Formats: sequence, structure tokens, C-alpha cells
Amino acid sequence: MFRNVTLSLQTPESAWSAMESTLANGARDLMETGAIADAGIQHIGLRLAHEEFLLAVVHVREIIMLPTVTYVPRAPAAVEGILALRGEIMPVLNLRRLWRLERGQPTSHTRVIILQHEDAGFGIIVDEITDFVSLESSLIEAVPASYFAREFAVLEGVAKVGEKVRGVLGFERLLTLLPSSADEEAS
Amino acid sequence: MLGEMSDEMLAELRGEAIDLVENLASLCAGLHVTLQHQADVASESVGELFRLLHTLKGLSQMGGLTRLVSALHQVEDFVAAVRDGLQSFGRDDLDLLNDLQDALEKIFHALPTSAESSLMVVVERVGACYFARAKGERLPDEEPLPDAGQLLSESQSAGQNEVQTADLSGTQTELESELQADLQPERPSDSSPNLTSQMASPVAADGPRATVSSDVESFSAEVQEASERMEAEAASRREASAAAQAEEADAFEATAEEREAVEKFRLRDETLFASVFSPGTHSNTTALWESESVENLRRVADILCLRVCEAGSLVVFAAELDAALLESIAGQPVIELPKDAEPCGALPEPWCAFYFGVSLETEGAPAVPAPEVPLVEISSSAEAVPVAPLAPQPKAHVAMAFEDFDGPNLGGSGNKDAIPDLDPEMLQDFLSNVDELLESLAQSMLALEADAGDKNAIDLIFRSAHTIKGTSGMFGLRAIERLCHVMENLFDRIRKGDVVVSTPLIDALFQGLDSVKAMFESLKEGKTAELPINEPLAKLKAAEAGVAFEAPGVVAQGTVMAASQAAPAPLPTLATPPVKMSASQVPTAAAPVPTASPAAAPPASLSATSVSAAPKSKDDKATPPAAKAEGVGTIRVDLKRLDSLVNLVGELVIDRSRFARIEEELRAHDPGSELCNLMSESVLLFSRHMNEVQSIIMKVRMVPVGNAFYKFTRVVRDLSKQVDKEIDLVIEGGETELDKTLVEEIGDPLVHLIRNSVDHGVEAPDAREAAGKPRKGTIRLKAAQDGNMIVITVRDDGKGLQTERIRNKAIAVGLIKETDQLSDKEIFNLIFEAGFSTADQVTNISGRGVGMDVVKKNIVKLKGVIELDSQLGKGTCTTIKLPLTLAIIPSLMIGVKGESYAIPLVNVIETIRLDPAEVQHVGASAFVKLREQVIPLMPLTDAFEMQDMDDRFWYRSGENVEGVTSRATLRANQTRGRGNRSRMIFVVVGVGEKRVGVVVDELLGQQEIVIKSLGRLMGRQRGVAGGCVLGNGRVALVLDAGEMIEDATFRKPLPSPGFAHASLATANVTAAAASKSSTGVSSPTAGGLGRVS
Repeated sequence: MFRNVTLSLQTPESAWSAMESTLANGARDLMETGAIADAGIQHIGLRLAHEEFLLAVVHVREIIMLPTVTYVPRAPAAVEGILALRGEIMPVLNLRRLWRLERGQPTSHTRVIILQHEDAGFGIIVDEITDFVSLESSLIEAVPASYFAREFAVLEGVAKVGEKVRGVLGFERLLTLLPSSADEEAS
Repeated sequence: MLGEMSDEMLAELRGEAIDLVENLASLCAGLHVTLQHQADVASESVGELFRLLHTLKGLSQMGGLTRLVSALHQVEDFVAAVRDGLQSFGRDDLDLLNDLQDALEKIFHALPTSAESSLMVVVERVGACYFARAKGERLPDEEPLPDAGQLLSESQSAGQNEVQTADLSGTQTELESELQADLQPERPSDSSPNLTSQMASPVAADGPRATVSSDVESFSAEVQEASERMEAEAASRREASAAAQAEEADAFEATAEEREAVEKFRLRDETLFASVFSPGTHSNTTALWESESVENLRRVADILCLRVCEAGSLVVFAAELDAALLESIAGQPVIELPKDAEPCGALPEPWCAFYFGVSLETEGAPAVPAPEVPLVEISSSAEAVPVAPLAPQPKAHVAMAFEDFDGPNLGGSGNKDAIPDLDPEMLQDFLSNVDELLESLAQSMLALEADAGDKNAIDLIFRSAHTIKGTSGMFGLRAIERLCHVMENLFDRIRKGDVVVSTPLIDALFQGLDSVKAMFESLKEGKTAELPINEPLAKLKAAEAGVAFEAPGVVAQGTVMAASQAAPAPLPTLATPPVKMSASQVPTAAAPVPTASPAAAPPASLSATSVSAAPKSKDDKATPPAAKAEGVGTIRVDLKRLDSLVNLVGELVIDRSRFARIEEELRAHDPGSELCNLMSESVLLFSRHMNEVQSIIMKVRMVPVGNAFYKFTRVVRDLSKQVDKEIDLVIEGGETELDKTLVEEIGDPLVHLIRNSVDHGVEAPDAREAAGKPRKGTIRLKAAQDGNMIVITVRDDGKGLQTERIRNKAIAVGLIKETDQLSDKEIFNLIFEAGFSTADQVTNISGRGVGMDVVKKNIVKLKGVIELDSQLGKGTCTTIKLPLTLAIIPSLMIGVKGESYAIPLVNVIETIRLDPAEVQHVGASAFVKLREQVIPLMPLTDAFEMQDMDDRFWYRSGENVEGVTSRATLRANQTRGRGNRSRMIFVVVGVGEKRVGVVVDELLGQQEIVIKSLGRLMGRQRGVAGGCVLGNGRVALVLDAGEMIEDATFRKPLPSPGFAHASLATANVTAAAASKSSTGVSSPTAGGLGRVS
């Protein structure tokens, strides 16, 4: 009995870590069976002119009406300007221009989707928020070869929702449109 | 440990324990009832009992009641056995439990005073009984059984320690032999303290050593020879013994690992014992180990050493029990060993000759190195001790002091990576306080170095170390606690005057402090706080003994020298012979050496080599304490909250201007009405209050720059030592205040500048002397306020910058051409180019050429400017100017093409309305003559290339466009009305001496704005300082006057050398941008500067 006690005293840590790894393995197993993965990832559906797109909700901070945007001279092409959101100034992107879609007028449906990257936010102007779609990552296909480079720039794939094929906007790629990334690359 | 818990914690602990003990009482009552009816107890009760005991054990542990802990552990084990069905719980057990509960109740009620020992005995007896029960033995009646069952946990940890010590012996002996080699030159001086102890009275716990007589000299020479002889022999012997097991080692000499073990226990509470067996009892050490006596002893004690020889068997062990008890355990006589002398000296023949080589250094006594006894023995008896190593003494002396804390702390039970399980809030509290403590510690150490007699500093250090030790211990931060403990002891001795402050001592203390800091940093990052501390520990111990400890392989010439002088250091009133002796050992006088001369200096004061006790540093010493005095009525505020507050105040400022606007409108509409008056009054009051809030808030984040500056004294000290120079850091204007973030950001660039001065600026003492300068160089760090700028200067009196070399280097690198003419200032500014360095050697301090451009970038990021000035042979001065307040700026609002912009009033000289006819044109540029000055005109639209704004700006706010145009047309109409000619409006913007006239469409009045960054993702735009949020929620860009002026000046393609690379860079960037952009949007016109990011 003495020996037993000795042993157990000496291995509390290893007992704990054994338990931990069992838990971790268990969790992984659960994931692999797809029990959790099947639920799909929430995407927000948006419209730019006549094109429809999807964007993963996880990056979206909020959606606001179109405020007054201030022009920033010499900003990159995709940047429309800057806006202030409760005191925070951030850049806003004009994807319609990026996609060479015709210039439109802001309407009552026009919104700005505010995205958050770490500590900084930025917005993208959209013509309309259409719907919310739950999309499984397996359904996102690669961007077809027929698309133009500019489209590749922001899409990380396409997905068929119902009858329509919609582009899936990639968050990381959107970031590249911003001046800060240009700064980093140039330096 | 008990003494170091805070009172509240202790009270809490006590309360909890009392509750638990009461629960235990009721549980016992319940068990009593159960046992009356049946033979066994319910498993739930057992479970509950176990949990109760377990928690009580934990509380006792926290409270430092170690005896309780071990006893409770035994009971716990027994209960666990009952729970597992291995044992049964009977009436007798219940009686024991009742006794235990009773005793515990009294003990915990008595807290914080220690409980009576009788109570403890009861508890231990119970524990022992349970232990015995567990083993299946009969319960004895009254007599105190082997408190044997004793320290179950301790014997186990002892077992562990044994194993670990064995494991580590290999590495330790390697270390030792390396130590040996390194300490060679020190032996002469080492021996002198040796002999000093011989001459002086032993263990003088008070006051410094007696004076050394001149016999020391001759004696030391003899000793040296003897040492060297023994040295070689002992070295080889030691290697042999290290490799072998105990059996093969010399019967009468302890192996290194045994020595370590003995040393460790000597310093602890346990008593050393030995037991001797008659010859023939055991055939070899294995038999001895497995013998019943030793096996029993193993359960209660730490076996340190076993020996079997023809003369008999010996076992040396350490335990916390008394000899009588141990005797009954071992079943044979046990002799207590003295700790303050060679342990085995008290043993009967032949074991009295068993040699441990113990150093007589106990923690309270002054540094008394190796004992004299072996010395005598060696010369006299040669039989019992075949080769008694004298040589190991000097080395062993240091080896004795080599405490292996890391072995058991970091190794073994795999808890090296265990992050202490702590209450996060308490820990956060602690951590936020700790920085201050550490900083004050560092400051005090520096003060102490400057003035070794500084009582305040010593006291402060002692108290700070004590506090950190206590709270770290409470949190279970073992390594930190240990290190602080050693430091604290050291300081206690310094306080009493037993140890004298010397440079190696301060060095060791700083190293210890660094280790503690590193461990706290690690803890803050969520990692373990247990890092290796053997080296700082050893250094501290060695420094305490007056010997410099060098980790193997790191032997800086300077420090070895210092060591040989530090040895005589504990003897403040040095007679000349020792000094001469050590001086003769030092052929070359390296910079740190001058410590020898102050031996004659004022008592007990060894001045440091770098940061001297100049009156200036005394002032510096005075100011931090003063600053601390102010800190009495302070409160700690989370920086995030403060930031939110500052932001909100910024918003309020905007709101204030909104109110002001409304008030204006109202007055315009309906002057004289009651409502209007009320509004005006309210707005006025509001504005006044807002102003006050504004100024206070801006100050809230301001901290004196001195806080950051004082850290640099340490930097200079360490650096100048590294490069063998003597440099003073003089700090002026430390009380100048700067925004907290600025102070933090300015730290790195300043360190770099200071390093440059140390490395390249200030010359070596000899060179300085040759040049007629004082040997000690000075670096002057000054902060002052100039208008709304803070000016920080780093000035050294070194050799200055050599313009020729810079020029040549620049030509070589391709920055400028041979034919370019540059002013001195322009040449100096070349240094800020990337990749530039004229240093011949790249030291690890500086010279790699990646520094100055980064420094400049950082300064520019803070919206400041940096300049260099220098005079050959006299020195160099770097000036940094930073804007004082970043946030709220009064500005002039202007309108261009419907968009609003803000120009900080600081940069606005005047606004002019002019007849376009008066504008003069030269080539593509426009000028205007204003009074005597010629001012270039620059339309904002050109500067910002707004010609394609219509293409690029789709979502212009319709309302705004209308609003503005209507006002613009209004004004235009007005002016037209006057002279039938549209006038041109421009704002004269100035920075320094330069002027530019910015042509705008309209002036929109003055406003106070809060400059904000455009957002991290927006990056830096040329000509734009930031953005501000207007009253209507819109953003207006704030113009950066300086950049605009630069752009305006250089829009003409002048072959200006300073900008040759800039235009190159521009071209690259534009090209890169062009290739990147796939949108085909019209690229910037060639006329402008293009996008310079």
C-alpha cells in the first residue's frame, strides 16, 4: 500500500495530461466524423449591381447605412474613401469599381458592411443585403478559369446557391486591397 | 511562510480551516453513531472524510504548517485505503480521528500564533498510528511511535532528491572541474581569506574581519604551491570518483554528489546524523542499502552517503527527528553530526577521517571559507587520510556555495512546465505591483552602487526583496522566491555590515534581478515562472563570499581581475600588502581595475566603474524618491479605461462645437429671444467646463519622461563596461511630461542613440586623456518643452561625426555623387538612410547600419523630427522634437471641391484673398509676392491630384455637395458683387521658415478638432496627418503642413541629393503599384510626385 501511494503521488501530472490527451483525441474524433461540421458556415449574401456574392459572417462586425464618405486622395483604386463609425475612422472599399461594374447611384438599399481585422475595421459598400446563407465549406468550388484577374483578387471560390452561382468573397483577399498591405509589401 | 502571508489571507485561511474542522467534528459524531450499530462505515462518509482531510492538508500547506501537512497526509492515505477497501475503519481509528480533530481545532484557533508543540505531537502521533495501521502493525498505546511514519511526503521527496542528486552529479562535476580551471588565477587571493579566518577569530558574526597581517603574503605563496600540487591530484581523483558509484569511491572521501547533498542539508533545518556499523555487517554498499536499518531510515530520512569498508559501514543521513527516535527506527546507535564543522569529525574511528570538505559558511555567519581543520590534518596524519585534498578547498569553497536549485525545481516530477494554479485576479494585482517593485529595486541598487553606504537604498532593497519573496512564495513561484530569499539574506547581511558592497556583488545582484524580471515576464505571458536560476544563485553566493563566480566558459578578463580584487574587498581597511599582492597579479590595468585604488577611499565604499557618484546622479536619486512621495495619493487605473475616457472627451469636444453651431444658427434666426439667451448661456457654461475637462484629461495621460530615462543609467553602465569605457549618463529635465504612449515609444530610439554614443561617440579613456579630455565621458540626456513641442537631446562629448567619412561612405553606397555639394547638416542626415554605417567594426552593440533609419522612422511615426549635429573632436548631439499633445488641435477648416479639410492652426500663418491677376507664373509654377516674401502657390487639388476625383469618388454625399456649392456660390456671389472678379483664396501654411500658399475653394472657419489616425488599415498617406470627425459625423482629412511644403518645394525636379533616392523610391513604388493594380484606373499624372507611401 505504501508503494501504491508513492506511485500515485509521483504522477499527478502525468495522470492529468493523459486525461487531457484523451479528451483532445475524443474531440478530434468527434470532428472527424463530421458530427459538428455538417452544420455549415453562415454567409451573408450581398449584391453589387447585378452580381451576387457571399461573405462569411464571422468577419462581419456590423452593417450600417451609407454614411458620408470622405475622399482620400491618392488612395488605392479599390478604396472609396474613409468614414467615421462612432469616432473610429476606417477605410471603405468600392468593389463595384473593382469589378468594373457600371457606376450606380446609392439607393435606399445601399449598405456598408463593416468588417473587423484584429483591431482595425474597414467597410465595403454594397448595393443590397440579400439574404443569409448557410454554406458548407465543401460546397465552395474554385474560381472558374473564365473569370478575370480582378475577380480572382477578391474571390476565394464560387458556390451554387439554388440556381445562381455566387462568388464567395475572401476576407484575406479583401485586406490586400487596402493601403496598409501595399505599405507592407513595398517596404 | 506563515509570517509572509498577508493578514487578511491568514484570517481567511483560519476561518476556512475552522469550518472544516467543525465539519470533521460532526462527521466524527456521525461515524460514532454508525459504528455503534455496525462494524463498518458508509462509503460516502469515508469519501467525505477523505475530502475534508485533503482540503485541510491543502490549507495547512498554504499556511506553511509542514508538520501538519505530513501528518494529515498519513491520515489521508489511510482513509484512502479504507475507501479502496484495503483497510477497515474501526472504533480505534475513530478514537484517533477524534484526537486529531480536537488537536486540529485548537491549532487552527490559535492561528496566527504557533500551536503548542504538544498539540503537534498529538497530530503527529495520530499520523504515525495511521501509518502503522496502514502497514498492518499493531497499534501501540501511548508512547510516541516512530513519528516515524513521519514525513511521508518528505521521505518521498527525499527519495526523489536522492535520485536527482545522483543524476546531476555528472553535470555538476563537469561544472566543478571547469570552475576549477577558471578559478586558477584566483587562488592566491582565495587563500588569503582562508588564512584570514585562521588568524582571526572564527565565526565573528558581527563586524568585518580583522586586519590581515603581512604573514598572509608569505603564507599564501606557500599555500599556492601546495594547492597547485594537490590540485592536479585532486582533479584526477575527482573525475574518478564522479564516474564511479559510491562503492568504488574512496572510502574516506565523499564524492562530489555526496558533498553536494550534505551541503544542501546543512543549510536546511534537518539535522545531520550518522550511524556506524561494526565491521563485517555488510559486504558492500548494496547490502548496506538494503539492510533493514537503512531501509527503515530511508522512510524517514534522506540518505546522503553510504560506505562499506573493512573498518565497518557508515551511513550518513539527514532528518528532522531527534536521535533517540532515529535510533529506534534504525535499530542501532545514531550519532548527530555537527553542521558547523567537518561532519564526521565527531564519529568514532575510523570514520572521523571521512572527509566532506564542507565549507563552514552558514547563512548567518560571514563568509568564512574552508575550515582550517583539514589543513592541519593534511600536514599531520597521513594514514587515515591517504590523500586529503587541500586543493579542492578554494575550488570546493565555491563548489560548496553551488546550490543546485534547478535540479529539483525544474527536473523531476515533470512539473517544470506547470503554471501555478492561481487566482487570476490576485495574480494580476500582484503582477501590476511587481513592476514598480522591481523598478525601485533597480534604482536603489544603482544608488547603492554609487554610494555603498546608502542606508536608505539598502533598506529599500531589503524590504522590496522581502516583499517580492513573500508574495511569490505564496503563489508558489519557487524559483523567484528562492532567488529573492538569497538576495534578501544578502542584503540583511549588508545591512548589518557583514558584507561590503562591491562591484561583483552589485553585478550578481543585477543578474539576480534580471532573472526575477525574466521570470515575471514569462509569467505575464502565461508561461511558467520557473526558470533556471543556478547561475545567479551561485553568483550571489560567490559574491557574498567575496569571490567572483564565473560560469564556465564565460571569463571576461575584466571581471576576473575585479574578482581578484574583490577578494580583499571584504576587508575595508586594507593594509597595502594584499592590495599589492593582487595588483601584482594584474599585469594590465583594464578599465574596471581602478577599483583597487579606492581601497584607500572612504570606508566601506567601492565606487562603481561606470555610473559614478557624481552630484548629478545624487540629484537623480533625489528625484525618483520625490516622485514616489507624490505617488502616495495615487490610484492604479487600467490603461484601456483611460484610453476610452480620452476618446470620449474627444467626442465631447466635437459635441461642444455642434452646440456652438446650433447656438449660432439660433442667434442668426431669432436674436434676442429668451430661448436664444438660455441657449447661449448654456453653451458658454458647457464650453468652459469642457475646456477644463479637456486640459485635465490631456494631462492625465502625461507622465514624466524621467521614468523612462532613469532606466538608461543601467544601460549605460552595462554597455560602457562591455566596451571598457568610462561613461557617465547625466539626465536633465526628467520631470518634463509626455503622453504615456509617447514615453514608451521613445524608449527604443533613445536606447539606440545612447548605444551609438557609447559605442562610437565616446572614446576610450586613454584616447580621451591623450586628447586632453577627462577620462570619463559624459552623455547628456535632456528633455525640455519648447512651445507645443517636447525637445529631447542626446549629447555626448565624444569624438564627433566625421563628415568626410560619411560623405565617402555615401558615395560608395551610391547615395550621393562625387560632385554633389552638401552642407554639413545634410551630410549628417545621410546617416538616417537605410544601410548606412561608417563603423569599421560591427560590434554587437551597433554598427550594422540598421539602426538610425529605424530610429528616424519611429520618430516620424510619432509625428516628430530628428536631427543630428556634431563637431569633430567635441561631440555629437541628436535632437528629437515631438509634438506635445496629439489629440485636440485648433484648426482652420477649408473646403476644396466640396470636401472639407483641416489645417492645424499651428501651421497657419494667414489667409489671403487675392485677385488672380496678381499671381505670377514661372513655368508651371505659380507664385505670389506677399509683403517681402515670395510664396509658391499650390492648389490643393494639384497636391492631392484630385482631378480624377470624380472618377474615383462615386459615393459622394449628395446633400453635402449641394450644401457646399450653395455656400461657395454664395460667397462667390458676394465677392463678385464687390469687384466683379472672383477672388482666389489661399492659406499661407508654414513650417519653420518655409512657406507655401495652399489654394482652396473656401474657408470654413476655425474649429477644434481631434486628430485621429486614419485607421491601421489605411496606412500613411502623404500630406495627410490624420483625420478628424466633424460635428456632422463626417470625416475631414487633416493636412500635414510639413509634408505638403516638402512636396510643394520639390515638385520642380531639382537634382537635390537628399531626395535623389526619394524620387527613386517614388518611381519604384509607382511602378510596383502600377503592376499590382489590375483595374486600369488612370494612374497618377506624371507631373505630380506620385504616391509615396
